[in-house]
Amino acid sequence: MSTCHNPSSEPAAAAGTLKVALVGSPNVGKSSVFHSLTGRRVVISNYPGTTVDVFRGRTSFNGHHVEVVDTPGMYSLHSITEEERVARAILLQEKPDVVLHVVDAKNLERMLPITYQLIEAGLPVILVLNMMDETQALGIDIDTDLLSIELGVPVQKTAANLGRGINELKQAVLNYQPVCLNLPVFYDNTIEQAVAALLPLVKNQPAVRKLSPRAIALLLLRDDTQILQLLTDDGADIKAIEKIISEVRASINQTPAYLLAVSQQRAAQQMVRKVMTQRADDKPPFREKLSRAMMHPLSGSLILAAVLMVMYFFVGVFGAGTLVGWLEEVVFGQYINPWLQDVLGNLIPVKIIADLFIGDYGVITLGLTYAIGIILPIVSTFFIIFSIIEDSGYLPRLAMLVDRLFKFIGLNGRAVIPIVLGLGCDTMATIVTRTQETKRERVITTLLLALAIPCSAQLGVIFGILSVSTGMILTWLGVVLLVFLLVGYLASRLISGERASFYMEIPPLRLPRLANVLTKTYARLEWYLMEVIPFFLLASVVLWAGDAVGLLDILINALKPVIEFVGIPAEAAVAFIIGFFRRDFGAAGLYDLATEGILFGNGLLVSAVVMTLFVPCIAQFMVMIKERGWKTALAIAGFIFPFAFLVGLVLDRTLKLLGVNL
Amino acid sequence: MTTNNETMKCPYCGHEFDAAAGTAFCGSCPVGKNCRLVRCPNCAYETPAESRLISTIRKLRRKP
Ligand SMILES: [Zn+2]
Repeated sequence: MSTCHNPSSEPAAAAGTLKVALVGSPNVGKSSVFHSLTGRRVVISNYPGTTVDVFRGRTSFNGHHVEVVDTPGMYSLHSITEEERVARAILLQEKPDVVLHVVDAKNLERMLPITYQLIEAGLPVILVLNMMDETQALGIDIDTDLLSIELGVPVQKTAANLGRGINELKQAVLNYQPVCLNLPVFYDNTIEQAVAALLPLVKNQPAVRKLSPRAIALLLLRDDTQILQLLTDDGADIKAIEKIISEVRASINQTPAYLLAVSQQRAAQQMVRKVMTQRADDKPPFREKLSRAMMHPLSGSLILAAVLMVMYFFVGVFGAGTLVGWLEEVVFGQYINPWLQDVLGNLIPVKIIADLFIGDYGVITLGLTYAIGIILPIVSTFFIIFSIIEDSGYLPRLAMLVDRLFKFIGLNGRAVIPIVLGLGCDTMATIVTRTQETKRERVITTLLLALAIPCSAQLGVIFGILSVSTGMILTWLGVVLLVFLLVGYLASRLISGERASFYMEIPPLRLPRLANVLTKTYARLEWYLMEVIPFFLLASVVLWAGDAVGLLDILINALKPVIEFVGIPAEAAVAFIIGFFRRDFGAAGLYDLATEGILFGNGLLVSAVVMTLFVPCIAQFMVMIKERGWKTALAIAGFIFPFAFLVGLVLDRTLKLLGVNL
Repeated sequence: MTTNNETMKCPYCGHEFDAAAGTAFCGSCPVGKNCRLVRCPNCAYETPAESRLISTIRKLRRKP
């Protein structure tokens, strides 16, 4: 069986400006292909009504005007994320003359299902096997002629990052001729019968002129609400359509979407067996074994524990112990601060003005000492470790490991991305929750980010505070993890409906390069200090003013009973008030109290836990308001604040009950 | 991180992108466009832009 679209037999290039669209999943080198096709004259713009950026470039292939559009990455024609919706909208509304489906040739099997979907949709597809250099390096050969015959579409090999195969690709675009396309996949009988029944119902609808009726029918079977909406607008017989779909669903155990995916995967597997040959030499290399071990639930957890241990010794013991001890106690404590106090104390006779610089909340004694004496060494060591982890490619593997844990507590797999990103910066991670499917999932992820995910700077300082004992850091980790799982579990019970599976491209593991790690650490530090120092200075001015007018005392006195009741010494009240400004600033306050010997043992642990859990920093809170609306943001904050102290209380009483004194 | 001045490789998902494209998510952020972090358009992971000091040194070493 075959379908014919676009009966004209003229080459596409004969018309005026050729429109070429690039599609493909992320990480297949799509932007390299785009840039090698267009050069550098590129316009970036928001796709109308969305936050998604679309790249467009105008160029000429052998004198023919060509417009190239780079669509956002997509994993399926059945759109879930905003990016995928934009990619599909471009294909449907802009009607490109040629669609280049760019794939990572070494992962052809995983990539082919989208090719099938594009062919089914009746789009003018050329399959671009990119990253051929890496594929060949792995000893993989692909018979492109056979693949082209089997698929019924042109196939081109490229290594766009090296500029290989680009001229041939341009020529293939110019030569593109619409042909009778094969139907790439035959589905289960139930599905094929349903498609046959749906075809007459969708055939003459305007939406169909952009997409083949078969593709429309298949998307309907996948519960694609957008397509259903389009057909409703066109006045199609929705009742009859829904009847067919519910009949299919009733007659099979799985969802139709699952059956379709399985058939496509099977077809892809068979195809790859036909066209791909692997030089049979070696067993999986060490790197591959290590990569798998990192994602395996058991070995992966052990590796994560080892990574945390290394972090603890380097950041907590060395950074926060050795380095801070020297900087804060010796450099600031014995030299800079006494000297400045002496000089400025004499220079500025009015005490209240002098206090602005050298008082309890002075710009120098509080702001600069915290920023440079405490935060700087801790975050420097932390950023070094973090850059190494980033550079090695461990983060995506951590995401895959965490995904299993998420499924276990019934959370959506897509929540993994923002949660792991939150370990870098919660503010941006909150914005990324947009990629989640439903409003409820977005709210739950936002809540978990605000509650239990410390950002990188805060994490560094927490490691620093708790470096006094391994037991303390393990308890802290255990409590925060438990809160995360418990709140996540309870919140996800409120969600009904399917759980999306999480899929992510895993870039190769590699040995971190020293130069890379150092320049990145430096860049991160420079950025951090630029952002943090003004903030710390401003905060100390605010605190000084609050102290001068007596407002701070009122606040501290209000907070004291709560804090003491939870088991934290009253002196820590200031640190918690500072924590409203920035979490890491508050943590630095706790650090200061710990080195002065005021905060120790159980009280230190409880304050670290409460500080981790309670209120996000101001930037994150503002983003929460912007993304979720002020009602939800206030509700989340309103839950978190008492809840953090409640957890602290429970922890304190449990420790007392068990007779544990850390 | 940076392969040259224009393209960056995301340390989270491995996506390669134009540094100029790394602002897709900035619209909603109160820190706005002045935070000097570059975001991956694929997954929104943030990396600091290469510091001016480092890129100056790099350029000096390239053109002796
Ligand atoms: Zn990325």
